[in-house]
Amino acid sequence: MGMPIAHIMTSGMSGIRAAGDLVARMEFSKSMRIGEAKEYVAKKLNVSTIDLSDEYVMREIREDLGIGVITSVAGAPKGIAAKMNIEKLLGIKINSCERFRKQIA
Amino acid sequence: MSNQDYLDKLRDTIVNQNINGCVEATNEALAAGIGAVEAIENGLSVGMKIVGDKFEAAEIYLPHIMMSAKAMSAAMEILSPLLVGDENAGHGLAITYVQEGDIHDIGHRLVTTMLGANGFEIIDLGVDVPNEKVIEEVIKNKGKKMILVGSALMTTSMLGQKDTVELLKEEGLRDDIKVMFGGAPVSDAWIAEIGADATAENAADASRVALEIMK
Amino acid sequence: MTTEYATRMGDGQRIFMTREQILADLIEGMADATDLGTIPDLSEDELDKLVDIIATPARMVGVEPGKEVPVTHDIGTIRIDGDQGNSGVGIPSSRLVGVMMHERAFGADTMELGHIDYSYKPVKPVISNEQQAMEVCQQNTIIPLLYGAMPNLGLYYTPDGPFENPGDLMKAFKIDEARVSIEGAAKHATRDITWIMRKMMSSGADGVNFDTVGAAGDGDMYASLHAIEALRKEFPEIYIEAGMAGELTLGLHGDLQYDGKVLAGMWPHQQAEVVSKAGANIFGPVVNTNTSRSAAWNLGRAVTFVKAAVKASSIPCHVNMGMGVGGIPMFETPTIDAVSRASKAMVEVAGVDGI
Repeated sequence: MGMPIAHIMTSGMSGIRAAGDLVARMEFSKSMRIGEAKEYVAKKLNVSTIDLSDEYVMREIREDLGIGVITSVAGAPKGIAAKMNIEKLLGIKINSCERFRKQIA
Repeated sequence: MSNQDYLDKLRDTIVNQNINGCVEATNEALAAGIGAVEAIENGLSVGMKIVGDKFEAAEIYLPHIMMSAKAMSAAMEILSPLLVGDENAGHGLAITYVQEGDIHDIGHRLVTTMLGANGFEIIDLGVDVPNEKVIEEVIKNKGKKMILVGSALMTTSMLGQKDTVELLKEEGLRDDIKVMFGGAPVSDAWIAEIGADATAENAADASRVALEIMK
Repeated sequence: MTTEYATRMGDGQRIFMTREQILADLIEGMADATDLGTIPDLSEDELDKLVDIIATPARMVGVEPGKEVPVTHDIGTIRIDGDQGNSGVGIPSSRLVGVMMHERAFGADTMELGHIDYSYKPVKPVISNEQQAMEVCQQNTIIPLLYGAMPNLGLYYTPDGPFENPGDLMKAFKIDEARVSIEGAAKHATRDITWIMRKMMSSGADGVNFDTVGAAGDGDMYASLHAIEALRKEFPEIYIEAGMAGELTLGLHGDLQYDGKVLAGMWPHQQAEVVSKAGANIFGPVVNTNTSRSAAWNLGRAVTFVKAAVKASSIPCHVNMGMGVGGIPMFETPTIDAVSRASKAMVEVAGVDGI
């Protein structure tokens, strides 16, 4: 169990603590290499690429954009709701959001 | 043709997986007065060594090794009857198995194949084998030139190898048999710690190491 | 007196080496990779950097700020609730809890849902359960969440499956029959994986992770590549990650091809090309650890292989860095100092896109 945590501490982008999930989404959805994915996300967030792993910078941005934060914030978008905002931010479709939309149509 | 030509032909039929050719070359070598032991050691085994090296370098794969082994086996059918009573012939009996609690058998199969192809008589006990069954088989074959070849892919099953060696000691069998263990977690340090004889990095290396420690 | 630095063997044991010894082992490990894969050496600067990483007088190291990469997770939540004497720590918890712990407590960049057996074939009879779990997790998760398992062609052979075991057939020198058996098993695996993922995609999965591709040899890889191709065709937007089982594709069949290339004997830089061609988004190179060699030897070898794969690949490479792979010691609880060093080396020297 300590092994993945050691990787995250050494090299990871911290997931929704910062912008790791967003960069990962661009690698997975568009096969972007790391540099391109970071540039893409940084441009969408109007920050520099170094800010993407910076919890201090990303906390406020995530809360403002409603794309999910790591701690409980009452009323803040979570789960599917946060992912729908991520779709809009990154200009991509997310399968679970698509399924959700079909169910409520 | 010189004796070396006959031996080279034997070697080449193994390397080229030429089963019928290997039988033919064996008969020709015998007719030319080459002894069975010489044909095996300086012809067929040389070919298997080349095959092992090619396998290790990923130039050939399991089916190709098996075809070479089949050629070797066909030759051995002719040569084995001539070896009776020759104490220098054959490398001995290899008892192969995967440790209790472990069913990973690809490495075990490869090693068993390579040992068989290199002239060891094989008793393959299969996977998930309790130590008691291993000891039982060793007792059954007491008096033969033997090597125990155990495999474990998991650190948890690897621990059973220590018990294997202990049980061999308790039964007074440790000096009668060489003990070799393999598998991803097995290291030289582990072999030294538990008092086994050797490990190897892969199947081709395993046959080389086994031949070395059985000398 | 020459300074010695605490480092590790491939089995995790602590050893002490001088900088010269570390460099010598790095070079030897690198040479093993370059000889086997016919790939380029690391540069002197890169080797120096690896020496510095290994000899850093700190328990953990870290990548330079700005060089972080996404850390993806395979094995699902088994590392939390798994209790089979392996890497699972046996905490009774639901899979939803496991996924949310990874997202919210550990800071994972992506996550995966998998079931306790972790092979695709046994998912078939419990597919509704898996779909339900995926739906609940997707409702509550923000990070990308894949469904993952091992292709594990072994389950298609006797006594677990319908095809005669090629190992038994080969032992009886029935080579052609063994090959036919592998081909049949591969077709079934492709069909099963495609069917399972069709169901999981209908339940909102972001995509699929093929974990330990090639573990049962080239037939295993053949089945996976065809499943990737079929899934990409049916779901153009699906996220597909293909992580390998080892640096070398074992040739249990020997003649299977994909895109005109023989799969047996492929090294990571060659695997990357066919995985990408099949339609995957992420390639996961794997280099196994030799327990009898030092961490330096293993890291030199692993970084050399992975760097070549990163260069050859047209898609992102997320190097597999679990226990016993990627320069990490083969030990149930890999030491944090070794994990951290290998992690930094892969990012800063091999140039991986993720872990």
